[in-house]
Amino acid sequence: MLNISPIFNAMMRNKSSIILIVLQIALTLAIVSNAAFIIKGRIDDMQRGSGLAETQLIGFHMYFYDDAVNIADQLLLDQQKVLELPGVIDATAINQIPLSGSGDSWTFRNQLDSDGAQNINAGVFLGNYNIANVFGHKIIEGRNFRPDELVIRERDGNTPKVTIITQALSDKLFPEGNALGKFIYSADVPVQVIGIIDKMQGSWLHSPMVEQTALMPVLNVRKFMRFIIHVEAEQVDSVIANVQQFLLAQENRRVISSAETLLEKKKRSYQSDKLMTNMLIVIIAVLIFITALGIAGMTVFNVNRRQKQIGTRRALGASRLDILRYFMTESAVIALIGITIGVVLALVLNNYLMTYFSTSSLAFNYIVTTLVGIIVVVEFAVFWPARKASMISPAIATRSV
Amino acid sequence: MFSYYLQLAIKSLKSTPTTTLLMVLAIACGIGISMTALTLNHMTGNNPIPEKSSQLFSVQLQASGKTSEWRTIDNMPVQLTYQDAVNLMRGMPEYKHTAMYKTGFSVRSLDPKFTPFLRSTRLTTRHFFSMFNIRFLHGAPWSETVDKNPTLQVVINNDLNEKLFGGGDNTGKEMLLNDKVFQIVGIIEAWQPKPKFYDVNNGAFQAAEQVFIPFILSGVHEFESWGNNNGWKEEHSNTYQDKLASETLWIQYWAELLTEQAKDEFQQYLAGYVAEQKKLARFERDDARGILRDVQQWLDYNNVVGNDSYVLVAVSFMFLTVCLVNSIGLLLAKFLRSAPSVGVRRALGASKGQVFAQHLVEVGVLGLIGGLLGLVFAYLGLTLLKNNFDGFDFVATMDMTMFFAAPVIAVSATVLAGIYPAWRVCTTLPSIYLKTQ
Repeated sequence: MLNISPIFNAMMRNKSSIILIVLQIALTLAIVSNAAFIIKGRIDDMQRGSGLAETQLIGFHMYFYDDAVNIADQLLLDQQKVLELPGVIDATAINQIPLSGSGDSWTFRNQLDSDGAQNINAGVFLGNYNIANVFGHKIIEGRNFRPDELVIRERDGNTPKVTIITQALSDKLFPEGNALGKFIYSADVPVQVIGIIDKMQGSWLHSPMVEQTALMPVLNVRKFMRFIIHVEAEQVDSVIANVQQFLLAQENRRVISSAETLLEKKKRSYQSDKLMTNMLIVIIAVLIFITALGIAGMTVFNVNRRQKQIGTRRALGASRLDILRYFMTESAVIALIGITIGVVLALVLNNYLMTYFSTSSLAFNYIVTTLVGIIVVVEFAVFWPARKASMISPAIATRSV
Repeated sequence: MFSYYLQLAIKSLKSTPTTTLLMVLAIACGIGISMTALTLNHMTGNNPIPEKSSQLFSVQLQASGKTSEWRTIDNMPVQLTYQDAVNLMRGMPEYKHTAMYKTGFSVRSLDPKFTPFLRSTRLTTRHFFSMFNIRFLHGAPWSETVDKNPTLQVVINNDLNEKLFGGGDNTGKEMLLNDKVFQIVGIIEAWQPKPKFYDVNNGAFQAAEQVFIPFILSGVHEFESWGNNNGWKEEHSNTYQDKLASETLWIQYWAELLTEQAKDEFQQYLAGYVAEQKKLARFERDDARGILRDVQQWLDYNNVVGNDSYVLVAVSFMFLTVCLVNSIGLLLAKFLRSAPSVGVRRALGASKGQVFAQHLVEVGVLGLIGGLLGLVFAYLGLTLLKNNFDGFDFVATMDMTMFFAAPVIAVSATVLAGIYPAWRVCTTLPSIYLKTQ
């Protein structure tokens, strides 16, 4: 019905250009499926929710250079004063800024005795007792910190007593559940879990522990401090513009960096992923375009070369549709051979990437989707030249070139 | 003959403008994208100090706990403890070697109206400057005495010199780091190794410090580390002095060993130190040892270039392959179509070699145009990267190597790709085409 055998015979007479198209299709399939897979992984990462109101939270750091300043008092005062700025909802001094790429992590155990304990790393955010409110967290289990639970920690080794942790950290430390009320241990220091929040990403977005986060009501007094302010959406720009001068006016024996939203920090943290996806998207787009044009170009040449034969077939009674079908089938056969080799190549490439760059194993649906896409692109590319071929008049056959 | 072939080539390319355009674009896209990826890879993999790369060694000690795990391939920590660093500096005075770490200060001139700004600062010894070939514009490093007796002296770079004083020789003047008055003893060039090989752990492409002060001050004035601190041991470390005595890892350590013999001696020295610490039961691991890695090894070990960059290079070169296969197919079709005229030329006495050469010249011209256009694409790509991503100023810039490599790669790849079509057309029997005419 489809007349594969004459098509095959014709192809065998013109092996080299067929091989080139097959090779091109195979490589395209291998590259596109792997690149698409990498892109999807990165985009999924970048689209994970942070559990934070990124556009309304602004962060900056400050550095107290004069030993004469009482840093703890000044920070407590700043947290009050900054509420005077229009649009400021809540604020706290803090030890690290989420999504920023730098910060502190602690190792927690789920029991005092280190033998047989689960050792779990978590990003630890030390701030005022209102720290959960500043981030806008809803406590899904337990309660929030009380003002009297704030610990001022200078170089005296004061330790926190209570913590609010994310569900992700709770699941890690207490896989059997019921974390609320239990104690977790940093070395031999017990800290009681009094609340659980749904989700909060820590500072290192590329770390597997990114969602393992703990909040503690501790003012960890250092020369180098960070500060987080929660602002009403429409006042974000004005607070960013004014907060530095405002705080310097309270106390100028410090250096304050310019403020920016957590969204900006997040963008910077994902910069390398953005670069990777952009480059790969460009490669995929150009690759498909070039492959399509190349195949169309080859078909044009073939049609021109076979003008006489096409004319003869038409004169012998082949319909336009027959001619069109001939070229469409031919390209489908070529595409199928290319795809068969391409699937193998795609898996080889993926295997290479897995071995040397520890990427994950390619999901098969990426190959299938790419494969279908390639057939569509190839048939689309062949359609116009094939249609042109079907227009060739039977009279050509009788004419000498 | 060459110029005649060139004429023929241009005539032939002009006769099929669409195909020519298609081939040039395919080659240009392939070259453009692969050169962009290769430039990023090449520049991040840059050796910042090639003249001394094999003579400077990063020092590592396996000084962590029995079950400690590190991200490195050999499970060694990349930094040292303060006590190990200080102990190591005591020996081997015949070689230059130094501990260092990053801190930071608010920096001011003595003018009370001057608005302070933050600058990261490196604590190290005077050897740092000569080891890393840093040029002094004015003054010199602090003296050996200052390395032994805490003195508030500072070396700054010229960028900071200009910001503080508007430039010039300001050695001997004073400046404020936090609330302490330091005397400037030297002003160095605006030194910026990329990658920042001596401290890749704290950001391989961060700016180099602009302020340098004696390492010994850390014990006296308690300057906090602004870099990574890695702890593995459960110990109470509240005060700064606690930290100095702790097993926290936060110090970088480098040695300059000019000869193979020096390297052996230093390796021995490290082995001796490790044995001694094992005897004291401080180093608890069976595989406790000291390791030296030169600059290139150190950059590779820390995977400064990053996996993404290699994946991009691999994918973009596969992409280039597709572009070339595409061009081979089009060239083949084009050449075979011109076979009848080739047949006539052959019949009139042109040798196979001449036909082959003529077609290769045509391919070469194609490759050159495609390659040059590809270079323009790569330039556009890199400019886009620079404008849309922070910190790509250095990495997304073609150096001379890349600038010359790109067209060479383009032309040789295309010519290589053109060999087959050219060979096909020159081996065609002229008689076949003469018959059908």
